Amino acid sequence: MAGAKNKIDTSFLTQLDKYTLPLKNRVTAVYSGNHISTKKGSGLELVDHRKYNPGDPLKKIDWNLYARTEKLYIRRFEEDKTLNMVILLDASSSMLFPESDPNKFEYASTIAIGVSYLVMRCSDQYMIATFTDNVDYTKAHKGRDEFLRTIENLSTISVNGKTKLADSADFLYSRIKSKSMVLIISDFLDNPDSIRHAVHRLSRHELVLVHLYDETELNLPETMDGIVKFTDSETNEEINVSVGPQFKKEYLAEYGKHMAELDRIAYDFKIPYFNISIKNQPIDAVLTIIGER
Amino acid sequence: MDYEFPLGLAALAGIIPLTIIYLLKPRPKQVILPSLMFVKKISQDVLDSRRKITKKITDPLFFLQLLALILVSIAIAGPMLDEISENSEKIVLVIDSSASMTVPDRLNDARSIAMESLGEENTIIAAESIPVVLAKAVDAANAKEVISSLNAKNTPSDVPKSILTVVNDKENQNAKIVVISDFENWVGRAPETYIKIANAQDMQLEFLQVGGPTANCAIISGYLKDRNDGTYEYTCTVKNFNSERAKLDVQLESKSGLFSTQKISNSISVDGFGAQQIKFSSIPQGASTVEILNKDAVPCDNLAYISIPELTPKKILILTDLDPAVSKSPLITALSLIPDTVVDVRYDLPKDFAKYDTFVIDCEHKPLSKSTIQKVVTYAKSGKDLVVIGNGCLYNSSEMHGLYPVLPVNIVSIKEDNSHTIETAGSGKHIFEDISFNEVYLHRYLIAVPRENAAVLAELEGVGSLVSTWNINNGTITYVGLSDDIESEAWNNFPTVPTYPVFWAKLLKYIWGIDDISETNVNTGRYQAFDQDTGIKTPTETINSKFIYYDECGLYNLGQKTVAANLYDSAESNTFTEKRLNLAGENAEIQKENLQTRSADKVRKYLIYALLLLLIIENLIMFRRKII
Repeated sequence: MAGAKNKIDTSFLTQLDKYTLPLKNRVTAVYSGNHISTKKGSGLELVDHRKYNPGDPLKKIDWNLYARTEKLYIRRFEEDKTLNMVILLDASSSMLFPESDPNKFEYASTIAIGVSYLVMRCSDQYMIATFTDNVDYTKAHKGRDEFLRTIENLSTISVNGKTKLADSADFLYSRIKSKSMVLIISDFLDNPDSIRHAVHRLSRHELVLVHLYDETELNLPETMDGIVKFTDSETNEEINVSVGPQFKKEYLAEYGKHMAELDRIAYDFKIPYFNISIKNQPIDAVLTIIGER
Repeated sequence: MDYEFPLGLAALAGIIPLTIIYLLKPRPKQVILPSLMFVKKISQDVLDSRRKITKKITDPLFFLQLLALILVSIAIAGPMLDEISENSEKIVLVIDSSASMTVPDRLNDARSIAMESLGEENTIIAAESIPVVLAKAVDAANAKEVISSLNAKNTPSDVPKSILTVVNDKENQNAKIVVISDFENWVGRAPETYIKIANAQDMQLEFLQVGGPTANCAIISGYLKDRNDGTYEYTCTVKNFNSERAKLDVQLESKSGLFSTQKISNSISVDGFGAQQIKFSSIPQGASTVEILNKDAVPCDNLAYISIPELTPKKILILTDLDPAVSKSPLITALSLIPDTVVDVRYDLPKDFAKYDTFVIDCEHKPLSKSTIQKVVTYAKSGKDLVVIGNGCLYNSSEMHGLYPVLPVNIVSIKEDNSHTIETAGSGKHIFEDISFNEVYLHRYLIAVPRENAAVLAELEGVGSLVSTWNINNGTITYVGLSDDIESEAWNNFPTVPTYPVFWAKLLKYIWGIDDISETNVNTGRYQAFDQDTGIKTPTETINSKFIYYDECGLYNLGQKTVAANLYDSAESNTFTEKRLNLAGENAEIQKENLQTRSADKVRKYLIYALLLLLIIENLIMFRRKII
């Protein structure tokens, strides 16, 4: 792709054709679609019957049932609605780690595209919003043409800035009107309070947290020893530290604590939380997210 | 701190280039990390302390290499650590107990130092002219008792010999040897040599000096010259070991059984460090003393003893079966040649036989009568001298067998054989050194086996005794297995050998206890062994022993002879010398160095272990960093 900054692997998309996106909660989108709505109405699937009340449309009376029971019952059908998938993609500087391919952002974009592909195939709406300290929010897309445009946008997007999940959630809170499926793909290198706040704000939606990490983030490489000047990829803050086995142990413990906190947030809000290494194949990550693995 | 090789510390200069190399090393590795928040969360205290270190320390490898460099420098320099001095388990104390230690306070100081130096297991050796082991591997309490009872003797000292004795004793391995002496008389190699020898045997050697310069006057030598009139001329050298002139009163006193006691006094003036010879002519036979009457630091060198053997005419009775009027036997001829002797030859005992000093029985064919033999035996048992010649009659005649109980040998048989040579043995080696036994051929002889306590002076190699003696009541009974028969069937050719008369002269002088003047005037520190147990009267006690160690100045009565023992040692008497082993100067360093040489090796060993450990750690770090 000409002028691409970020390499997004789309080769695995065709392997997703045999999968669909199951939803745990009923969607409340305004558009009709392939997914079961929380509302009952004029769909094709019969749900149950209720007694006829004066004023009910006559065409809804189940005459066959009347013939058997000599009582008037109204047929009630499942109202089919369109799924609205919102993917919040972390585009902060920390996502450019590691320097080797793919970095976390490229990997995150790849699985976002994979999920979007599944949504697109169901003629549902999807929206990929990148967030840092602000949110790049566009209207929801639908159809193949828009899907390709989305890929192109992600491959050229500039990745920088700080992760501010709470601010992003506040921003999106009023903009996602219908009950949607919200997939947050991030390294979640943010204050746990900020993450908790964001989850709280978006908890009315079907929320899924996808935490991406690189192995070298967790386990600092053995070659990293002695005096090391660490530079924060988001703030450019520098710290000189004498790195040794003890330091690495303490660092891993701190990272572990942070992941445990994320797990706890997910548990508190009863939302799925996926911890995925970017060394995994993107298709595996997508299938994990949709519950096929 | 002292170092074995201080120049080794110059290796510390290597710190400068090492530091420069590390200062020039690239800045710390830069790592961009998205998760810096976790680094920041690590305990602030720990991080702060690390940051502080970080400011000073650039790399742990630098410190490892710095430490290694310091350790290498110290190892090369070899720090001297006195580790064993106080708590050593094995201590060998070599305490000088020579004459110079009789200077007041020297021995007391030595005792005090020795007691302070005691360890768990102590061996105490008195360094006289020979090392005398006073106690071996005793605890401190017993060692203190031994040290308290230690006295200085009148001998020269040989500290180096004592050190070598200790060092060569394998039981003293890992021991600390403490040598306490005034070091007035050091007659060995340089002290460093002994320290090195000790170190080579895993021992530590320490020198501790006692005493300061003390004035002393001494008779440092004495010489007797025969005047051929029965008297001797005595020349002695008196030396003043002091920086100031001294006026000395010297007195000669002679006591003799032959002459009346005489005293001669003389006053001399001797310059500071000066010496003067004094001659006393006409020293009579018997014991005499020359004494410096002035009192000083070392009493034993103020008195010189002189012993001149008293040569009284000896009467010899030869009992033989040969008629001296018909043929004079070689034996009679030889005995007659001995000066100051009266020789009578008879077939049997005269009535006044008690006037004879010595009987010689030489019966070749006809034995003595039984009664004569009984009297002879009684005579011998009473303490007179008896010589029996081993002729055929002694074996063949039953009457002659009556002599057997007093003989120093058992006569076994007569043998004809000419394949054996005569060998001198024991004191005989000295007595008969001028006798040409190699010219003597025997083809017939008595096989005689020496009895217990008998001294063999000459023997037939592999067969038996030829000349043996033993003592009964201060009398000497001698068996001589060399027949003087020179007839057609002569047993040997010894009577025809020119040294035959010399043999008899020497043998009888030995029997009578008449020694050369040099044998009756000896220096202290001499060790003399005898062929048999001998009654000895030393200046302080009477003992019975097979040897004598002259450790006191004075007169020693050894059977029939008197021996005068004198110090006569200029070095030992020189208690004012400035040239003794000076431990305060250059030698102090030697002492210290050698005390610590072993310690330096020990420290060096541990330093090398530490270096190896550092090397391993450094390699591990480098391996972890994938540098190697």
